Amino acid sequence: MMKDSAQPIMLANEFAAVAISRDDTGNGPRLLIRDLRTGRVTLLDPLELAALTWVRHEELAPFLDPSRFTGPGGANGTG
Amino acid sequence: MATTLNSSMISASNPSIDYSKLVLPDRISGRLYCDHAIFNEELERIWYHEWIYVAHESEVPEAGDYVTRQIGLQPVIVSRDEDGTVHLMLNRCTHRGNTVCQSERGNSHAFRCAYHGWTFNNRGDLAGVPYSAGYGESFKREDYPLTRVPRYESYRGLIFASMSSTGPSLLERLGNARRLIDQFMDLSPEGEIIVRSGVLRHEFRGNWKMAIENSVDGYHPNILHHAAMVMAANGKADIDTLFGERSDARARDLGNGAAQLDLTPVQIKNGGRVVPPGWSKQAFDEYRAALTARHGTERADRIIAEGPPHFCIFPNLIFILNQMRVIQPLSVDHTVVSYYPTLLKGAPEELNRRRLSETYLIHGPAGRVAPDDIEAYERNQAGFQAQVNEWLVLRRGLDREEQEDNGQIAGHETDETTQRALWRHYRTLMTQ
Repeated sequence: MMKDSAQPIMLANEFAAVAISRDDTGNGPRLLIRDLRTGRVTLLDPLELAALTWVRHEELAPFLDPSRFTGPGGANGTG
Repeated sequence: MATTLNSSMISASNPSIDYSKLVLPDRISGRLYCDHAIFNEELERIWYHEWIYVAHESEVPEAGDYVTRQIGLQPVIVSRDEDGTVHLMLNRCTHRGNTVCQSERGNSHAFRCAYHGWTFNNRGDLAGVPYSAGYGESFKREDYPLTRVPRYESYRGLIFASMSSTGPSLLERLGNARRLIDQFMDLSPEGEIIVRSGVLRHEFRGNWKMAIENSVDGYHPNILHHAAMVMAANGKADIDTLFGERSDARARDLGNGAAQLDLTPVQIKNGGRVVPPGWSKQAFDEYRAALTARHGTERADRIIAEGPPHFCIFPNLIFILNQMRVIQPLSVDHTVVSYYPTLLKGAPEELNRRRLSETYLIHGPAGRVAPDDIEAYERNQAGFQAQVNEWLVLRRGLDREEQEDNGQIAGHETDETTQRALWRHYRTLMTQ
Protein backbone atom coordinates (compact mmCIF):
# COMPACT_ATOMS: atom_id res chain seq x y z
CA MET A 1 0.00 0.00 0.00
CA MET A 2 1.47 3.31 -1.03
CA LYS A 3 1.87 6.02 1.48
CA ASP A 4 1.69 9.62 0.31
CA SER A 5 3.89 11.65 2.57
CA ALA A 6 2.37 15.01 1.64
CA GLN A 7 -0.80 16.56 0.29
CA PRO A 8 -0.92 15.89 -3.44
CA ILE A 9 -0.67 18.72 -5.90
CA MET A 10 -3.54 18.64 -8.34
CA LEU A 11 -3.02 19.53 -11.97
CA ALA A 12 -6.01 19.48 -14.29
CA ASN A 13 -7.04 20.80 -17.64
CA GLU A 14 -9.94 19.86 -19.87
CA PHE A 15 -8.14 16.74 -21.09
CA ALA A 16 -6.73 15.17 -17.91
CA ALA A 17 -6.48 15.46 -14.15
CA VAL A 18 -3.56 14.15 -12.11
CA ALA A 19 -2.45 14.28 -8.51
CA ILE A 20 1.30 14.36 -7.89
CA SER A 21 3.07 13.86 -4.61
CA ARG A 22 6.35 12.70 -3.10
CA ASP A 23 6.56 9.00 -2.31
CA ASP A 24 9.00 7.66 0.28
CA THR A 25 7.95 4.02 0.40
CA GLY A 26 10.97 2.87 -1.55
CA ASN A 27 14.63 3.07 -0.70
CA GLY A 28 14.70 6.55 -2.13
CA PRO A 29 12.23 9.29 -2.94
CA ARG A 30 10.11 9.11 -6.06
CA LEU A 31 7.47 11.27 -7.67
CA LEU A 32 4.03 9.63 -7.58
CA ILE A 33 1.69 10.53 -10.41
CA ARG A 34 -1.92 9.36 -10.15
CA ASP A 35 -4.31 9.68 -13.09
CA LEU A 36 -7.55 10.66 -11.39
CA ARG A 37 -9.60 9.46 -14.32
CA THR A 38 -8.35 5.87 -14.47
CA GLY A 39 -6.77 5.46 -11.06
CA ARG A 40 -3.52 4.41 -12.73
CA VAL A 41 -0.32 5.33 -10.89
CA THR A 42 3.29 5.65 -11.89
CA LEU A 43 6.40 6.37 -9.82
CA LEU A 44 9.33 8.22 -11.33
CA ASP A 45 12.78 8.32 -9.72
CA PRO A 46 14.99 11.43 -9.75
CA LEU A 47 17.11 10.27 -12.66
CA GLU A 48 14.04 9.64 -14.78
CA LEU A 49 12.75 13.08 -13.82
CA ALA A 50 16.05 14.69 -14.71
CA ALA A 51 15.91 12.96 -18.09
CA LEU A 52 12.50 14.49 -18.68
CA THR A 53 14.05 17.94 -18.54
CA TRP A 54 15.83 17.05 -21.79
CA VAL A 55 12.72 15.78 -23.56
CA ARG A 56 10.91 17.93 -26.10
CA HIS A 57 7.11 17.83 -25.99
CA GLU A 58 7.00 16.41 -29.50
CA GLU A 59 8.99 13.41 -28.23
CA LEU A 60 6.11 12.66 -25.89
CA ALA A 61 3.71 12.30 -28.82
CA PRO A 62 4.03 8.48 -28.95
CA PHE A 63 2.99 8.36 -25.31
CA LEU A 64 -0.11 10.39 -26.17
CA ASP A 65 -1.18 7.96 -28.89
CA PRO A 66 -4.27 6.28 -27.45
CA SER A 67 -3.81 3.22 -29.65
CA ARG A 68 -0.93 2.04 -27.47
CA PHE A 69 -3.21 1.40 -24.54
CA THR A 70 -5.38 -1.71 -24.54
CA GLY A 71 -7.56 -3.53 -22.05
CA PRO A 72 -9.37 -2.12 -19.05
CA GLY A 73 -8.34 1.43 -18.55
CA GLY A 74 -6.91 1.45 -22.05
CA ALA A 75 -7.53 3.51 -25.20
CA ASN A 76 -8.00 7.09 -24.08
CA GLY A 77 -8.06 5.99 -20.51
CA THR A 78 -11.71 5.10 -20.17
CA GLY A 79 -12.50 1.79 -18.52
CA MET B 1 -38.31 59.87 -47.41
CA ALA B 2 -40.64 57.15 -46.17
CA THR B 3 -41.02 54.16 -48.42
CA THR B 4 -42.39 50.69 -48.08
CA LEU B 5 -40.28 47.60 -48.18
CA ASN B 6 -39.51 46.56 -51.70
CA SER B 7 -39.99 42.82 -51.89
CA SER B 8 -38.29 42.72 -55.30
CA MET B 9 -35.05 43.26 -53.41
CA ILE B 10 -35.18 39.62 -52.41
CA SER B 11 -36.59 37.19 -54.91
CA ALA B 12 -38.06 34.05 -53.42
CA SER B 13 -37.15 31.79 -56.34
CA ASN B 14 -33.60 33.01 -56.91
CA PRO B 15 -32.45 34.80 -53.75
CA SER B 16 -30.24 37.71 -54.70
CA ILE B 17 -29.82 40.69 -52.43
CA ASP B 18 -29.00 43.99 -54.10
CA TYR B 19 -26.84 45.80 -51.54
CA SER B 20 -26.58 48.86 -53.74
CA LYS B 21 -30.27 49.38 -52.98
CA LEU B 22 -29.84 48.82 -49.25
CA VAL B 23 -26.72 50.93 -48.66
CA LEU B 24 -27.08 54.41 -50.09
CA PRO B 25 -24.77 57.41 -49.64
CA ASP B 26 -26.93 59.01 -46.95
CA ARG B 27 -29.12 56.19 -45.65
CA ILE B 28 -29.24 52.46 -45.13
CA SER B 29 -32.02 49.93 -44.80
CA GLY B 30 -32.93 48.43 -41.44
CA ARG B 31 -33.12 45.04 -43.16
CA LEU B 32 -29.31 44.96 -42.96
CA TYR B 33 -29.69 44.35 -39.24
CA CYS B 34 -32.62 41.89 -39.32
CA ASP B 35 -32.43 39.67 -42.38
CA HIS B 36 -31.09 36.14 -41.83
CA ALA B 37 -30.14 35.79 -45.48
CA ILE B 38 -28.06 38.96 -45.25
CA PHE B 39 -26.36 37.65 -42.10
CA ASN B 40 -25.45 34.43 -43.90
CA GLU B 41 -24.04 36.37 -46.85
CA GLU B 42 -22.02 38.50 -44.42
CA LEU B 43 -20.50 35.33 -43.04
CA GLU B 44 -19.33 34.29 -46.49
CA ARG B 45 -18.22 37.67 -47.84
CA ILE B 46 -16.90 39.31 -44.69
CA TRP B 47 -16.16 36.88 -41.86
CA TYR B 48 -14.83 34.06 -44.04
CA HIS B 49 -13.08 36.26 -46.54
CA GLU B 50 -11.55 39.27 -44.85
CA TRP B 51 -8.85 39.66 -42.22
CA ILE B 52 -10.49 39.07 -38.85
CA TYR B 53 -8.89 39.87 -35.51
CA VAL B 54 -8.60 36.69 -33.43
CA ALA B 55 -6.35 37.14 -30.40
CA HIS B 56 -3.30 38.93 -29.04
CA GLU B 57 0.00 37.10 -28.78
CA SER B 58 0.24 37.90 -25.09
CA GLU B 59 -2.84 35.74 -24.53
CA VAL B 60 -0.74 32.66 -25.35
CA PRO B 61 2.65 33.59 -23.94
CA GLU B 62 3.89 30.19 -22.76
CA ALA B 63 4.64 27.02 -24.69
CA GLY B 64 1.49 24.91 -24.60
CA ASP B 65 -0.84 27.88 -24.07
CA TYR B 66 -3.99 27.99 -26.15
CA VAL B 67 -7.18 29.98 -26.42
CA THR B 68 -10.35 29.16 -28.34
CA ARG B 69 -12.09 31.79 -30.40
CA GLN B 70 -14.46 32.07 -33.35
CA ILE B 71 -13.97 33.48 -36.81
CA GLY B 72 -17.55 34.26 -37.72
CA LEU B 73 -19.20 31.11 -36.48
CA GLN B 74 -16.21 28.85 -37.12
CA PRO B 75 -14.48 27.69 -33.93
CA VAL B 76 -10.70 28.00 -33.92
CA ILE B 77 -7.82 27.18 -31.60
CA VAL B 78 -4.87 29.55 -31.19
CA SER B 79 -1.91 27.66 -29.72
CA ARG B 80 1.77 28.24 -29.07
CA ASP B 81 4.10 25.28 -29.54
CA GLU B 82 7.27 24.52 -27.66
CA ASP B 83 9.37 26.42 -30.21
CA GLY B 84 7.29 29.56 -29.68
CA THR B 85 5.40 29.38 -32.96
CA VAL B 86 1.73 30.35 -32.91
CA HIS B 87 -0.69 28.07 -34.76
CA LEU B 88 -4.29 28.72 -35.75
CA MET B 89 -6.42 25.72 -36.57
CA LEU B 90 -10.08 24.84 -36.80
CA ASN B 91 -11.44 23.50 -33.54
CA ARG B 92 -13.05 20.57 -35.29
CA CYS B 93 -11.98 16.98 -34.92
CA THR B 94 -11.08 15.60 -38.32
CA HIS B 95 -12.81 12.36 -37.36
CA ARG B 96 -16.46 13.29 -37.02
CA GLY B 97 -16.47 16.99 -36.28
CA ASN B 98 -16.62 17.46 -32.50
CA THR B 99 -14.99 20.56 -31.13
CA VAL B 100 -11.77 19.29 -29.59
CA CYS B 101 -11.00 22.05 -27.09
CA GLN B 102 -13.82 23.25 -24.87
CA SER B 103 -11.98 25.60 -22.55
CA GLU B 104 -11.72 29.23 -23.42
CA ARG B 105 -8.05 29.08 -22.45
CA GLY B 106 -5.67 26.42 -21.24
CA ASN B 107 -2.22 24.89 -21.44
CA SER B 108 -1.74 21.57 -23.15
CA HIS B 109 0.71 20.31 -25.75
CA ALA B 110 -1.90 17.87 -26.98
CA PHE B 111 -5.65 17.94 -27.45
CA ARG B 112 -7.79 14.82 -27.10
CA CYS B 113 -11.26 14.71 -28.58
CA ALA B 114 -13.65 13.58 -25.87
CA TYR B 115 -15.90 11.67 -28.27
CA HIS B 116 -13.61 8.98 -29.71
CA GLY B 117 -10.24 9.93 -28.27
CA TRP B 118 -8.51 11.14 -31.43
CA THR B 119 -5.47 12.97 -30.11
CA PHE B 120 -3.69 15.89 -31.77
CA ASN B 121 -0.59 17.82 -30.76
CA ASN B 122 -0.86 21.56 -30.41
CA ARG B 123 0.43 22.05 -33.95
CA GLY B 124 -2.60 20.11 -35.15
CA ASP B 125 -0.80 16.87 -36.10
CA LEU B 126 -2.75 13.71 -35.34
CA ALA B 127 -0.77 11.83 -32.68
CA GLY B 128 -2.98 8.76 -32.67
CA VAL B 129 -6.41 7.20 -32.44
CA PRO B 130 -7.76 4.46 -30.14
CA TYR B 131 -8.01 0.86 -31.49
CA SER B 132 -6.11 1.95 -34.59
CA ALA B 133 -6.09 -1.58 -36.05
CA GLY B 134 -9.70 -0.95 -37.10
CA TYR B 135 -8.53 1.57 -39.67
CA GLY B 136 -6.26 -0.82 -41.55
CA GLU B 137 -2.89 -0.32 -43.16
CA SER B 138 -4.03 2.48 -45.45
CA PHE B 139 -4.82 4.84 -42.57
CA LYS B 140 -2.15 7.55 -42.36
CA ARG B 141 -2.20 9.91 -39.39
CA GLU B 142 -0.63 12.66 -41.48
CA ASP B 143 -3.79 12.73 -43.62
CA TYR B 144 -5.94 13.90 -40.71
CA PRO B 145 -4.40 16.89 -38.96
CA LEU B 146 -6.61 19.58 -37.52
CA THR B 147 -7.30 21.92 -40.43
CA ARG B 148 -5.11 24.99 -40.40
CA VAL B 149 -6.68 28.41 -40.83
CA PRO B 150 -5.58 29.34 -44.38
CA ARG B 151 -3.81 32.59 -43.54
CA TYR B 152 -2.82 34.26 -40.31
CA GLU B 153 -0.44 37.09 -39.58
CA SER B 154 0.49 39.13 -36.59
CA TYR B 155 1.11 42.86 -36.42
CA ARG B 156 2.41 44.37 -33.15
CA GLY B 157 1.11 41.24 -31.41
CA LEU B 158 -2.38 41.42 -32.92
CA ILE B 159 -3.17 38.11 -34.59
CA PHE B 160 -5.46 38.40 -37.60
CA ALA B 161 -6.68 35.48 -39.67
CA SER B 162 -8.35 35.03 -43.02
CA MET B 163 -10.37 32.00 -44.11
CA SER B 164 -9.48 32.96 -47.66
CA SER B 165 -6.14 31.72 -48.93
CA THR B 166 -5.91 34.61 -51.41
CA GLY B 167 -6.34 38.34 -51.20
CA PRO B 168 -4.47 41.39 -49.94
CA SER B 169 -1.91 40.95 -47.21
CA LEU B 170 -2.74 42.03 -43.69
CA LEU B 171 -0.58 45.15 -43.94
CA GLU B 172 -2.22 46.13 -47.21
CA ARG B 173 -5.60 45.71 -45.59
CA LEU B 174 -4.69 47.61 -42.43
CA GLY B 175 -3.64 50.59 -44.49
CA ASN B 176 -3.96 53.85 -42.57
CA ALA B 177 -5.07 52.00 -39.45
CA ARG B 178 -1.54 50.74 -39.03
CA ARG B 179 -0.19 54.02 -37.69
CA LEU B 180 -2.99 54.13 -35.11
CA ILE B 181 -2.15 50.60 -34.00
CA ASP B 182 1.42 51.88 -33.60
CA GLN B 183 0.15 54.82 -31.56
CA PHE B 184 -1.70 52.44 -29.23
CA MET B 185 1.25 50.09 -28.80
CA ASP B 186 3.83 52.86 -28.44
CA LEU B 187 2.15 54.03 -25.24
CA SER B 188 4.13 51.14 -23.76
CA PRO B 189 7.76 51.95 -22.90
CA GLU B 190 8.61 48.60 -24.50
CA GLY B 191 6.24 48.99 -27.42
CA GLU B 192 4.06 46.08 -26.31
CA ILE B 193 0.72 45.65 -24.63
CA ILE B 194 -0.22 42.82 -22.31
CA VAL B 195 -3.66 41.29 -22.68
CA ARG B 196 -3.85 39.05 -19.64
CA SER B 197 -6.21 40.82 -17.31
CA GLY B 198 -9.38 38.94 -18.06
CA VAL B 199 -12.29 40.16 -20.11
CA LEU B 200 -15.67 41.79 -19.64
CA ARG B 201 -18.36 40.41 -21.91
CA HIS B 202 -21.64 41.99 -22.89
CA GLU B 203 -24.18 39.92 -24.75
CA PHE B 204 -27.07 41.62 -26.49
CA ARG B 205 -30.06 40.81 -28.66
CA GLY B 206 -29.02 42.92 -31.59
CA ASN B 207 -27.02 42.86 -34.78
CA TRP B 208 -23.21 42.88 -34.65
CA LYS B 209 -22.85 45.92 -36.90
CA MET B 210 -24.37 48.20 -34.27
CA ALA B 211 -21.35 47.67 -32.04
CA ILE B 212 -18.78 48.76 -34.59
CA GLU B 213 -20.90 51.71 -35.73
CA ASN B 214 -21.27 52.82 -32.14
CA SER B 215 -17.55 52.63 -31.45
CA VAL B 216 -16.83 55.58 -33.73
CA ASP B 217 -20.04 57.50 -33.08
CA GLY B 218 -19.17 60.91 -31.71
CA TYR B 219 -22.77 62.09 -31.76
CA HIS B 220 -24.16 59.98 -28.93
CA PRO B 221 -21.76 60.29 -25.93
CA ASN B 222 -23.09 63.60 -24.61
CA ILE B 223 -26.62 62.28 -24.97
CA LEU B 224 -26.71 58.59 -24.15
CA HIS B 225 -23.74 58.79 -21.76
CA HIS B 226 -24.61 62.21 -20.40
CA ALA B 227 -24.20 61.25 -16.77
CA ALA B 228 -20.83 59.61 -17.45
CA MET B 229 -19.62 62.60 -19.44
CA VAL B 230 -20.54 65.00 -16.65
CA MET B 231 -18.71 62.81 -14.15
CA ALA B 232 -15.69 62.54 -16.43
CA ALA B 233 -15.59 66.30 -16.96
CA ASN B 234 -15.67 66.65 -13.17
CA GLY B 235 -16.54 70.31 -13.32
CA LYS B 236 -13.31 71.09 -15.13
CA ALA B 237 -14.52 70.94 -18.73
CA ASP B 238 -17.65 71.79 -20.68
CA ILE B 239 -18.86 68.51 -22.16
CA ASP B 240 -19.74 70.30 -25.39
CA THR B 241 -16.02 70.71 -25.92
CA LEU B 242 -15.50 66.97 -25.39
CA PHE B 243 -18.24 65.44 -27.55
CA GLY B 244 -20.30 68.36 -28.72
CA GLU B 245 -20.45 70.96 -31.45
CA ARG B 246 -17.62 72.94 -29.81
CA SER B 247 -15.22 70.02 -29.83
CA ASP B 248 -12.14 70.23 -32.02
CA ALA B 249 -12.08 66.48 -32.49
CA ARG B 250 -12.63 64.92 -35.91
CA ALA B 251 -14.44 61.86 -37.26
CA ARG B 252 -12.30 60.27 -39.92
CA ASP B 253 -12.65 57.62 -42.60
CA LEU B 254 -9.25 55.96 -42.74
CA GLY B 255 -10.21 53.80 -45.72
CA ASN B 256 -10.52 50.02 -46.00
CA GLY B 257 -13.14 49.87 -43.27
CA ALA B 258 -11.08 51.60 -40.62
CA ALA B 259 -12.58 54.65 -38.96
CA GLN B 260 -11.41 56.98 -36.23
CA LEU B 261 -12.62 59.52 -33.74
CA ASP B 262 -9.55 61.71 -33.61
CA LEU B 263 -9.74 63.03 -30.08
CA THR B 264 -6.14 64.25 -30.12
CA PRO B 265 -7.00 67.99 -30.05
CA VAL B 266 -9.21 67.44 -27.00
CA GLN B 267 -6.76 65.11 -25.25
CA ILE B 268 -3.83 67.47 -25.76
CA LYS B 269 -5.89 70.34 -24.40
CA ASN B 270 -6.89 68.31 -21.35
CA GLY B 271 -3.41 67.04 -20.58
CA GLY B 272 -3.30 63.63 -22.13
CA ARG B 273 -5.32 60.49 -21.50
CA VAL B 274 -2.92 57.61 -20.95
CA VAL B 275 -4.82 56.82 -17.76
CA PRO B 276 -7.66 58.58 -15.92
CA PRO B 277 -6.46 61.82 -14.36
CA GLY B 278 -5.04 61.72 -10.86
CA TRP B 279 -2.05 59.41 -11.10
CA SER B 280 0.86 60.21 -8.81
CA LYS B 281 3.73 62.43 -9.88
CA GLN B 282 6.08 59.60 -9.08
CA ALA B 283 4.33 57.24 -11.47
CA PHE B 284 4.11 59.92 -14.13
CA ASP B 285 7.81 60.75 -13.83
CA GLU B 286 8.74 57.09 -13.96
CA TYR B 287 6.57 56.54 -17.04
CA ARG B 288 7.88 59.65 -18.78
CA ALA B 289 11.46 58.61 -18.07
CA ALA B 290 10.87 55.16 -19.52
CA LEU B 291 9.27 56.59 -22.68
CA THR B 292 12.05 59.15 -23.02
CA ALA B 293 14.69 56.46 -22.80
CA ARG B 294 13.05 54.71 -25.76
CA HIS B 295 11.91 57.64 -27.87
CA GLY B 296 13.68 60.80 -26.75
CA THR B 297 12.04 63.72 -24.93
CA GLU B 298 10.11 65.26 -27.79
CA ARG B 299 8.44 62.08 -28.99
CA ALA B 300 7.82 60.83 -25.45
CA ASP B 301 6.02 64.04 -24.53
CA ARG B 302 3.98 63.87 -27.71
CA ILE B 303 2.98 60.26 -26.96
CA ILE B 304 1.81 61.30 -23.51
CA ALA B 305 0.01 64.40 -24.76
CA GLU B 306 -1.82 62.63 -27.55
CA GLY B 307 -2.81 59.61 -25.48
CA PRO B 308 -4.49 56.57 -26.94
CA PRO B 309 -6.11 56.57 -30.39
CA HIS B 310 -9.83 55.84 -30.73
CA PHE B 311 -10.58 53.78 -33.83
CA CYS B 312 -12.02 50.61 -35.29
CA ILE B 313 -10.97 48.06 -37.89
CA PHE B 314 -13.87 46.45 -39.71
CA PRO B 315 -15.48 44.10 -38.94
CA ASN B 316 -14.62 43.26 -35.36
CA LEU B 317 -11.80 45.17 -33.65
CA ILE B 318 -12.08 48.42 -31.73
CA PHE B 319 -9.57 50.45 -29.72
CA ILE B 320 -11.02 52.88 -27.16
CA LEU B 321 -9.09 54.33 -24.21
CA ASN B 322 -7.03 51.43 -22.94
CA GLN B 323 -9.36 48.66 -24.02
CA MET B 324 -9.66 46.49 -27.07
CA ARG B 325 -13.20 45.50 -27.94
CA VAL B 326 -13.85 42.45 -30.07
CA ILE B 327 -17.22 41.84 -31.69
CA GLN B 328 -18.51 38.28 -32.01
CA PRO B 329 -21.68 37.67 -34.03
CA LEU B 330 -23.77 34.68 -32.99
CA SER B 331 -26.77 35.25 -35.24
CA VAL B 332 -28.44 38.15 -37.01
CA ASP B 333 -29.82 39.49 -33.75
CA HIS B 334 -27.44 38.05 -31.18
CA THR B 335 -23.98 39.41 -30.49
CA VAL B 336 -21.30 39.28 -27.83
CA VAL B 337 -18.80 42.11 -27.37
CA SER B 338 -15.67 41.37 -25.34
CA TYR B 339 -13.87 44.23 -23.65
CA TYR B 340 -10.21 43.45 -22.96
CA PRO B 341 -8.24 45.81 -20.74
CA THR B 342 -4.67 46.15 -21.94
CA LEU B 343 -1.67 46.85 -19.78
CA LEU B 344 1.51 48.55 -20.94
CA LYS B 345 4.69 46.53 -20.74
CA GLY B 346 7.36 48.48 -18.92
CA ALA B 347 4.95 50.99 -17.38
CA PRO B 348 4.70 51.62 -13.63
CA GLU B 349 2.38 49.35 -11.70
CA GLU B 350 0.21 52.29 -10.65
CA LEU B 351 -0.42 53.21 -14.27
CA ASN B 352 -1.45 49.69 -15.21
CA ARG B 353 -3.62 49.36 -12.14
CA ARG B 354 -5.48 52.52 -13.13
CA ARG B 355 -5.91 51.26 -16.67
CA LEU B 356 -7.47 48.08 -15.29
CA SER B 357 -9.83 49.84 -12.90
CA GLU B 358 -10.94 52.21 -15.64
CA THR B 359 -12.10 49.23 -17.67
CA TYR B 360 -14.54 47.92 -15.12
CA LEU B 361 -15.58 51.43 -14.12
CA ILE B 362 -16.65 52.11 -17.68
CA HIS B 363 -17.48 48.72 -19.10
CA GLY B 364 -18.43 46.53 -16.16
CA PRO B 365 -21.99 45.36 -15.50
CA ALA B 366 -22.59 48.58 -13.56
CA GLY B 367 -20.22 50.55 -15.75
CA ARG B 368 -20.78 54.11 -16.76
CA VAL B 369 -20.74 53.56 -20.50
CA ALA B 370 -21.10 50.01 -21.85
CA PRO B 371 -24.50 49.19 -20.32
CA ASP B 372 -25.95 52.32 -21.99
CA ASP B 373 -24.69 51.18 -25.37
CA ILE B 374 -26.06 47.67 -24.90
CA GLU B 375 -29.48 49.08 -24.01
CA ALA B 376 -29.37 51.28 -27.12
CA TYR B 377 -28.54 48.30 -29.34
CA GLU B 378 -31.47 46.27 -28.05
CA ARG B 379 -33.84 49.20 -28.47
CA ASN B 380 -32.49 49.52 -32.01
CA GLN B 381 -33.20 45.90 -32.80
CA ALA B 382 -36.70 46.29 -31.38
CA GLY B 383 -37.24 49.42 -33.46
CA PHE B 384 -36.23 47.64 -36.65
CA GLN B 385 -39.23 45.38 -36.30
CA ALA B 386 -41.23 48.41 -37.45
CA GLN B 387 -40.81 47.93 -41.19
CA VAL B 388 -43.04 50.44 -42.92
CA ASN B 389 -40.21 52.97 -43.04
CA GLU B 390 -37.06 50.88 -43.35
CA TRP B 391 -34.47 53.63 -43.59
CA LEU B 392 -31.79 54.83 -41.17
CA VAL B 393 -30.62 58.37 -41.83
CA LEU B 394 -26.86 58.79 -42.07
CA ARG B 395 -26.59 62.28 -43.50
CA ARG B 396 -25.16 64.17 -40.55
CA GLY B 397 -22.21 66.25 -41.70
CA LEU B 398 -22.48 65.15 -45.33
CA ASP B 399 -22.12 68.77 -46.45
CA ARG B 400 -19.00 69.52 -44.46
CA GLU B 401 -16.72 66.55 -45.08
CA GLU B 402 -13.16 67.20 -46.21
CA GLN B 403 -10.92 65.07 -48.36
CA GLU B 404 -7.57 64.45 -46.71
CA ASP B 405 -4.31 62.85 -47.73
CA ASN B 406 -4.02 59.08 -48.13
CA GLY B 407 -7.64 58.82 -49.29
CA GLN B 408 -9.01 59.80 -45.90
CA ILE B 409 -12.21 61.75 -45.35
CA ALA B 410 -12.76 63.84 -42.22
CA GLY B 411 -15.74 65.49 -40.65
CA HIS B 412 -16.67 67.00 -37.33
CA GLU B 413 -16.47 64.60 -34.40
CA THR B 414 -20.27 64.43 -34.13
CA ASP B 415 -20.79 63.77 -37.84
CA GLU B 416 -21.67 60.43 -39.35
CA THR B 417 -18.55 60.44 -41.50
CA THR B 418 -17.42 57.32 -39.68
CA GLN B 419 -20.66 55.38 -40.08
CA ARG B 420 -20.74 56.26 -43.79
CA ALA B 421 -17.14 55.03 -44.02
CA LEU B 422 -18.05 51.66 -42.52
CA TRP B 423 -21.09 51.24 -44.74
CA ARG B 424 -19.16 52.18 -47.89
CA HIS B 425 -16.67 49.47 -47.05
CA TYR B 426 -19.49 47.05 -46.24
CA ARG B 427 -21.12 47.64 -49.59
CA THR B 428 -17.80 47.05 -51.34
CA LEU B 429 -17.34 43.73 -49.57
CA MET B 430 -20.93 42.59 -50.12
CA THR B 431 -20.97 43.43 -53.80
CA GLN B 432 -17.56 42.13 -54.83
